[in-house]
Amino acid sequence: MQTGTLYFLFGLSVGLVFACMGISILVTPEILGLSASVKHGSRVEVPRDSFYTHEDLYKIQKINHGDDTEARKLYDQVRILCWIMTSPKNLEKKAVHVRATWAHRCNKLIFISSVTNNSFPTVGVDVPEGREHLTGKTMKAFQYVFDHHFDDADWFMKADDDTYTILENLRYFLSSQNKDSPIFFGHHIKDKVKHGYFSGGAGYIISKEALRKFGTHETNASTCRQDGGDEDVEFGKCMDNLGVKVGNSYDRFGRSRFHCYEPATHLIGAYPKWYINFDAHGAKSGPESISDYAISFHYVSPANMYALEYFVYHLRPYGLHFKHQELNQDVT
Amino acid sequence: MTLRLNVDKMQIGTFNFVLGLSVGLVFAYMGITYTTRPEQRGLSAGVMHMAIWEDEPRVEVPRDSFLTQEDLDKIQKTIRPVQFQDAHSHHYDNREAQKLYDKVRVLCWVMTSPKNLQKKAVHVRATWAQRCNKIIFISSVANDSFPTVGIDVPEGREHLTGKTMKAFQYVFDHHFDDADWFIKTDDDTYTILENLRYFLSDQNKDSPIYFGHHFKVSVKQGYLSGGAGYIISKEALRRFGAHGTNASMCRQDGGYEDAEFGNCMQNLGVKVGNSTDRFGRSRFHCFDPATHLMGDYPRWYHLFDAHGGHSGRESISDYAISFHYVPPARMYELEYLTYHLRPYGINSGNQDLNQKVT
Repeated sequence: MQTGTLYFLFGLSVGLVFACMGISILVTPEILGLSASVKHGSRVEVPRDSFYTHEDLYKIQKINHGDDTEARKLYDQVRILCWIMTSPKNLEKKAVHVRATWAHRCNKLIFISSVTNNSFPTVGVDVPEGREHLTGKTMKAFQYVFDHHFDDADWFMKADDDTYTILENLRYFLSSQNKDSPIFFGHHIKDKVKHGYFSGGAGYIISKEALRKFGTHETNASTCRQDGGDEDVEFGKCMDNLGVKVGNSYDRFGRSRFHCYEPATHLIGAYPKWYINFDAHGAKSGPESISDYAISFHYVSPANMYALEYFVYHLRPYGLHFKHQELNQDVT
Repeated sequence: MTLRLNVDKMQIGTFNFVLGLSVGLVFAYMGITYTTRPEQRGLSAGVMHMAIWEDEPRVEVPRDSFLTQEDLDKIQKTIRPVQFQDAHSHHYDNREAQKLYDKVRVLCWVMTSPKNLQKKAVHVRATWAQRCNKIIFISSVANDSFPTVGIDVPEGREHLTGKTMKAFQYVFDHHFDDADWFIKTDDDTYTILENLRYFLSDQNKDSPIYFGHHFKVSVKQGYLSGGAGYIISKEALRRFGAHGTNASMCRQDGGYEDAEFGNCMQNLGVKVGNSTDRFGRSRFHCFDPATHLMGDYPRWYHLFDAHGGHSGRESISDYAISFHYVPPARMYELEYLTYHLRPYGINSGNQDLNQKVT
């Protein structure tokens, strides 16, 4: 009887092994009813191929392609250094997608992390990782930029590794501004700081003069908090204490250029309560609230970085020729 | 005597082994049958292929944003249609697009339902549908104010084929002269009409042909994905109008709408056309742009897609025509990204992206 059971169990095991092999080969997560939205997360791989640039297309076939002389002119005239706030754990998860898309349009690009990585590359600032140290990271990052790259640019922008920035529109906006004025720009939040501050995630950009004031002031914790608190609020207080003005980046029709969320959120006005209460321009929403020359969006997933890249630089509606618009406000 | 005992023991042992093996294999069979698709077992496309994907909202919500999927779903239920007023406008020169609008007339019929009118169809109406030469919303119930045309077919997945057949019949009966090409889309499809007309400007409306995203299974010449949108020529519609109610050529209801319509087209001698551009890049798309760019397709897509399930930046045409699984908020986003947001100082000229028609 015992032997019989043994044989039975042996047979059962063989059968079940077949079952496991069969199922693991044929079943996928979707079939098991797991969430479809998991997909854009950890399994994202960097697409190895690149977009055909207009140069590529022109070389491959004599196709009428566009003309970017104006954009190139501004590239030389309005030099921008971008520093991206990232971390070791986000390098391959997020920063790599920033690097693969918009960041190469900066005149100078620096990834700031707590650890130096020579191959990515990242600059390591001596600050531990974690939300409580973002202020420290920011202060040290700007100090690093002042110490090593002051002459490399006219304007200095901070962005997150889930911010998408359109450099051409940033340069267009700044072409009407003065880099030698102590001023900075971004998405304006009226809270906590006397003149308000700029949202960290939407990206903020400081003038050469503002960086000079920051870089040369004696490190004084009461002027500029060295760590702790919210990075964007503390940097805003610091700028305020140094006499750097909060600038207005809205376009001529009162539409926003730096954005705290993805376009969809701003278009339908799906804002959280704090934004409605503290946005300096009344938390407007809808298609008439975003500029055609928008500069930044935030909370952009890696997949959506490539989507934005495709829409801004590649997809076109055939037969529509977009003209230059004069969207800058007159500078008084 | 000992020998006999041993033989008996062997028999019992073998019997038990076989019994155990059978039980294990039955588990294997049940497990595989209930958890895999017919296609994966090498059978012809059967029941399951679209089931998992049709109903899920595919808005990608980053974990650290303020809005959870639940929030977005709630918001989607209350989104009021927003209008893009080009008051500041005429920021583009549309003469060439206008010329094509007159030359290549497109009738769009959008498959919707009473429960989706205010949830989805209203956002289609507020965005891309206005660019069709003629726009018709097909539902099971006529609604004069929206407006929708009511097709005498019950709601539900099992009746999408019936809806499609009757919709094309309706279009043939009432609007044959109003257009040169006739496109079917869903109420979560986003279509760029200018690029559709550009593509069709090199095609012949009097040829029995139709275009869309090509699947190579189920039908001999393949069929075109319903969600990505498919567009039939005037001649194809004429043939459908003449024979579409013949159940032996065109299944009247049941099955999968796009596969059944594809079968019908094949029986009527309507060819599946190639809509990829000169660089082999796709124009009609089964998913949203991010999915095609990242290539995180469901497994069935690789089995179905007639062009190898390509992905990445080199796989989508600059003159893409359609995307699918676009929820309402993303429709407005696509509208903004396609027609409004621009990089200053970069002027895109016309690209010659159509394949040479032989």
